[in-house]
Amino acid sequence: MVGLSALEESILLIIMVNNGEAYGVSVADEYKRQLGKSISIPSVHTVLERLESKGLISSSEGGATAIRGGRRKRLLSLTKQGYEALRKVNNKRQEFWQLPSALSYIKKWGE
Amino acid sequence: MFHLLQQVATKWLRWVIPNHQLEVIEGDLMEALEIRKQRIGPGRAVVIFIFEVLLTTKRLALKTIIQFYKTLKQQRMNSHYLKMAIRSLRRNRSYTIINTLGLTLGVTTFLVISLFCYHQLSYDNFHDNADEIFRVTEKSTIDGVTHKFAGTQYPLKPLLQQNYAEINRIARIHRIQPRLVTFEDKNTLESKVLLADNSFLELFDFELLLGDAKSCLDSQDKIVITDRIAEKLFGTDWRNFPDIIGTTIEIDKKLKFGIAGIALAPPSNSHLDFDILMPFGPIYGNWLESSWNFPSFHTYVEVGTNEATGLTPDALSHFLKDHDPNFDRNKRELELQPLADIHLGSTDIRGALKPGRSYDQILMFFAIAVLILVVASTNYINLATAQASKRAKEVGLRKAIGAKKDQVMWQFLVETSVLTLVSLFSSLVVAYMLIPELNRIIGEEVVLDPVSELYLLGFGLAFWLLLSLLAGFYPAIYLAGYKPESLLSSSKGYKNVSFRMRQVLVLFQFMISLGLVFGVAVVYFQMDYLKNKDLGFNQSGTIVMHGLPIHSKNYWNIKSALEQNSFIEKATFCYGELPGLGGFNLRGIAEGKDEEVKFGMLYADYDIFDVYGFEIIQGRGFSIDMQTDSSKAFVINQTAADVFGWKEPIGKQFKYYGGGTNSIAKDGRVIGVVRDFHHGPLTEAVGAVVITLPTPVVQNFRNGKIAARFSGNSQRVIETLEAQWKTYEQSSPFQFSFLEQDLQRQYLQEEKFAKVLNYMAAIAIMVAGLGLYGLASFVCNSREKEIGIRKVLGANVSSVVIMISRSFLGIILFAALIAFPLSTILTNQWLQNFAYKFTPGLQEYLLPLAVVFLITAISIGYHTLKAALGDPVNRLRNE
Repeated sequence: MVGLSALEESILLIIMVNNGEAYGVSVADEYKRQLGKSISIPSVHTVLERLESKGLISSSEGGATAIRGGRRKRLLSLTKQGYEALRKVNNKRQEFWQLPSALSYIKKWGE
Repeated sequence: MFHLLQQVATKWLRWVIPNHQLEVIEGDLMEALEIRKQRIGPGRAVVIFIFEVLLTTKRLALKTIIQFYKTLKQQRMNSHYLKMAIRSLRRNRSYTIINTLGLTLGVTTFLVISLFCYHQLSYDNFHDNADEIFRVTEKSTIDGVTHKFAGTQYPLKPLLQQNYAEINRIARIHRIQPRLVTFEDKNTLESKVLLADNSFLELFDFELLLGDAKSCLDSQDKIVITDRIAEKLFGTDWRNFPDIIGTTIEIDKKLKFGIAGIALAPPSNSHLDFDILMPFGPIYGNWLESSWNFPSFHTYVEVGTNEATGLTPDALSHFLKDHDPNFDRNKRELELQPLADIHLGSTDIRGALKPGRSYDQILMFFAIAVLILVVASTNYINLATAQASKRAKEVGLRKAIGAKKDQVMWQFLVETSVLTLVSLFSSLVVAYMLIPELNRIIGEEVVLDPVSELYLLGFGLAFWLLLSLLAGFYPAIYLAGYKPESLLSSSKGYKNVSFRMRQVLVLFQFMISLGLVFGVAVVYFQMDYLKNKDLGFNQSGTIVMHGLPIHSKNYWNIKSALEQNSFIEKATFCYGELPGLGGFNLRGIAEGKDEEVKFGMLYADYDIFDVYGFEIIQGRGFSIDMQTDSSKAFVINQTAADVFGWKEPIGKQFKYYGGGTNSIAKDGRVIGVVRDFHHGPLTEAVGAVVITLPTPVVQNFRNGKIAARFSGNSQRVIETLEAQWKTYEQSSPFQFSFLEQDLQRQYLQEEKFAKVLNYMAAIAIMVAGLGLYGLASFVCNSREKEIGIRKVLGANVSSVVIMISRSFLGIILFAALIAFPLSTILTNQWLQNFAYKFTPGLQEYLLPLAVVFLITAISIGYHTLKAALGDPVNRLRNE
């Protein structure tokens, strides 16, 4: 199984929900919108490169727009491995939340 | 401007990023930039863009370095490169020595100056909660001119506390005049005395050696002293003194305090410096609680970060409007200044506790240090490329037997880095020895301690790599770029390829040297001017005695006893600061003028005009025979007459308010006018000055001074005066200074600045001179045959010397053309600090040129003469 850092997981999730549409800037934007923290473009690039080398995402060349000075995008989509990695992390988490000791907290402080 | 920056950053990106990644990365960065431009404005968007470009390239640069290292490891070439580097450095010994010397000088300067800058930037950072502490300052804008003050009113503290819950702690301090501290039979006059709230030692992290920070100033009979004072009063083993906490000491022989704490003296990078902390009450009494006329208290607040804050700049700017009864008159607003900003960011704020520096000054020092480092690296580049002829065959051979370009490049880089490492270590040693000297000059405590500060090692490593790249990159590319066939087949192919490049580098070095010497010259002329300017009164031959109140009977006894001496002409009392050292300002009402006037007040006695040699141009001075003179007479200066709008000043009515009150302190008439003199330092223009005899209130204050004009041997004068002082006055020690020295001391900051600048300029020139020496040897070598042929054909020595030096002289003149206008602009900025400046002339341009010509002549002289004097036969025989 492939390990995922919190940042990698968030970005992977963003790519999953925007499958085939996501690219560098849109990932950074979405990250800001969903998590409330800003992230620099180079940091996104670093993570994307790492994810791609792990085989969790694949990329294809997309269209160019005027705002990009006529430069093409690299559109990202989740690979099967990527999907499995995300599922696994999520399942693991759910397992924890199903444990009685976690449930007692939910009872105490609510969902 | 921003557009240009954007283009530069894009170019850099395109140059560094490999092509297959470029399009996507550049596209993303551009898109983000355009979006941000609309959201936060073009300026900040471009700044972020540049930042992001740098981040992107940093990552790749790191990768490249790691890649390089891996390849090297695979090839097991490391030790080979090292061996070759050391061999070649040993072979060219003089070249190695010149380079090491130059680099060491450059790196040492850079190191020392960086440490100094770091020390300056570290001011007040040692408090744990430094980023939560602010100083409350006041600002007033009158007639469009903004004045800022570090001092605030005493009652501000409780008001701020009531109104803003987010203020965790708040403390006031107030500096008072020197006090006499007594324990049993030991007296010491201490100048760093602060009055402080009990919260002071809790708010700040000054270390308390003995006592409890929470309570050591919580009642009016407690006092805190530093270990410095403890040592003076109780001896070096004061720690063994029984029950030192609670021991009673006296201030001014009348106030008794019990020692409640002993603090470690504040470090040198603290803007708050004290030896004694006392409560406010014993000195000032209760009237402070409601006094809104005495803005001399420095208020510090610690603002918690977790609570919602109502402490906005807007709220603060209105705060005094609601609370200060004098608001209508002074229209002051409150501001918060971060603690860490106080030392360097207070150039426009008056009333500092410790003279600060400015960010500009630190930036300038650092810029010069970087320039010197660049000059040193330039030397290296120059010499290394000049060496090319010697190394060309080696490179050719290496390539011919299969070395790749990057392998050759790597070899030269390793050679450079060996050299820089040696220089780095030697400059560490030199800097270690130099730093005490630097501290003596600038009066700070800069430390170099690479062993305990581990981060310095990491920094050193990074610096080593950077320097090696800066100096070694171009020569490595240049040398590795040779085509092997041209190198091996002929000896002509490489010559003069980089001659133009070297000329540009030499030009650059001269520019920096000339600019620095120019700066030194301007600073020198200005300091000289300050020292020799006629201030409008006698500077030399005046001795000043400190700390005697005029109300004391002793004053008149001492004065008459002094004047009995044959070597004393006249003596006079002065309250506060002496003329020439800047006095204090008061507000007054001048006849015929509607609004209040501001003026410098000078309290003195009848003989001030004789002692200072003020020239009375209208009316008369004070006379002891005129009864009304002591309570109703003023003497003003010419500027005061102008400011008050008087054509005929004699007999005009004048009154003024006492310091910190709204009551009239004295109401009287003008009896005389003196010629303008420089009441304050020469950084300020002459203002209105009013001289009067001290009022009863003023007479009670202790900070009086006696100025006396003397003639003859100063040592004998001091001894006699001390003996006489002691017969009349036993309660305070005999303290003296000479007016001339006091006046010079005003320019201490500038003096220090000038000294550091001198050293830096000298080093820059030395480094450049070393480089020239090496370069001249190369030029002479490569033109050996040409010189030989010229001599055979009849050229004499001088024509050969002229031929070689001509190219250097041309470069100097060209460099002067560029450097002088630039440095004129920069030095003019510095001169803005002074209201009175020296008259600029040709001298400040000629001096740097002369110095640089001289250094050049010395540097290139040896090789040039050797080449010109040598026997042509020896040069032409070998082919």
